[in-house]
Amino acid sequence: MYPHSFLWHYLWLAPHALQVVLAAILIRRKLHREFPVFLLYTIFQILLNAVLFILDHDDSVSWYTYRYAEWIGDVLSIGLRFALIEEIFSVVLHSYPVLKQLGKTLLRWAILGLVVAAVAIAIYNPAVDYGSHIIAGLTMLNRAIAMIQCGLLLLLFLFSSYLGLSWRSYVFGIATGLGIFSATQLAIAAVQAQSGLGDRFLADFVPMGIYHVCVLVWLFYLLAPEPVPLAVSPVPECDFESWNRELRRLVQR
Amino acid sequence: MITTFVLIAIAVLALAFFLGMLRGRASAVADASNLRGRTRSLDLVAFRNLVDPDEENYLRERLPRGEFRALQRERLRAALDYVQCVAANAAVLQRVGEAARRSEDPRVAATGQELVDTALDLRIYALLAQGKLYAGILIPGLRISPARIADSYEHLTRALSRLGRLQTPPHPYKIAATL
Repeated sequence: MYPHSFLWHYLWLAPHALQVVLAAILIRRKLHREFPVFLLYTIFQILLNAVLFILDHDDSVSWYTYRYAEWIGDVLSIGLRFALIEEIFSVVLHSYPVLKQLGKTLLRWAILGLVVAAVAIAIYNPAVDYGSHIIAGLTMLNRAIAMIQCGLLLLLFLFSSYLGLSWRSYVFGIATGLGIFSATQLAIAAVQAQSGLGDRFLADFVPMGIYHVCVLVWLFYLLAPEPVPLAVSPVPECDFESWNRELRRLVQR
Repeated sequence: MITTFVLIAIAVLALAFFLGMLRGRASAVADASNLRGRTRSLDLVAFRNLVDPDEENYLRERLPRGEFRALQRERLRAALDYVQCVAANAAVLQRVGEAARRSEDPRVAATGQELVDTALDLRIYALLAQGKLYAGILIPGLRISPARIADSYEHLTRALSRLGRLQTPPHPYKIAATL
């Protein structure tokens, strides 16, 4: 459609080229059994961006056709990201049976609360309409979605941090990468809702750059060896001694 | 405009939080041997006394209203300290359980899992109990019954005792007794 700089092309293509490697690692290490939605999301992003790249460089494709394809892709991506967040919750809580029900309940209520907050913000502070109702609506939707996704990931981290849940490297990397992406999306969507889509740097380069960082985070955590936790078997003798000292102190008080 | 600024601030804080998690993860050490000396001793009987509704009723009937409210606040503050201490101990025991459930001995692993489950139960209940105790401090006449936390705590120490028995037979009761 229009000529792009080398940096623009790099930021578009490089993360998705890396996602091909990511998908290969997921399959090779059989992690797709544990993270089927993440694999689906990765493959979908590769295919979507391949199609969009071809459309973008085909002169016969109009701006509207490209935008419609992009919006459809965005909607499907949003759905997959929600499914991915649900998958992350399940994987984190998998080894804590007592928290499964609580986690599900918390997730449902958090979604409800965040949806209500997002709707309230949309009513109270609608996106500025610079001539296109569709774009204004989509900007508002993007802001709401980013808010919900970022909120859910923050909740998961805070919940597991309070309860001291242990995370495996893979799921930690996936969740953190997605969190960084969602937080940035929220900031961008908030600015765009206020000032429109005009700034090319904000609309294109920042999201592409951040997405690149996220893919690198995912790749790093998939390639990094899982840390071997130290086992206490048996509970060390010196622990017994120190606890005995505590008991004596308690009795003498 | 204010909403936009608030959302941007939230997003920036969230981004800093996620990036901080990456850094924190890099320096985290899952070393269970660091846990020694991290638990604090507790007097379960005293805690039960502090949150005993009969004791509260007795004081309410015997003391002037103002004096009762002041005393009840003190009692609840003390109970709050206990609950915070219980939660901290549970966090330590949870890590012991996390390490134990990776044991190759299925009995040790099962007891480790039980320890983790009980510790998590206790921490959630401790969180709720803290909320109730804070409410009670604000409104001293409010009916609160966090005594169930004592039962959860006993369950936790029993689980740890079983774990100790499975791992090193001569010492189990000493661990549970000191918690």
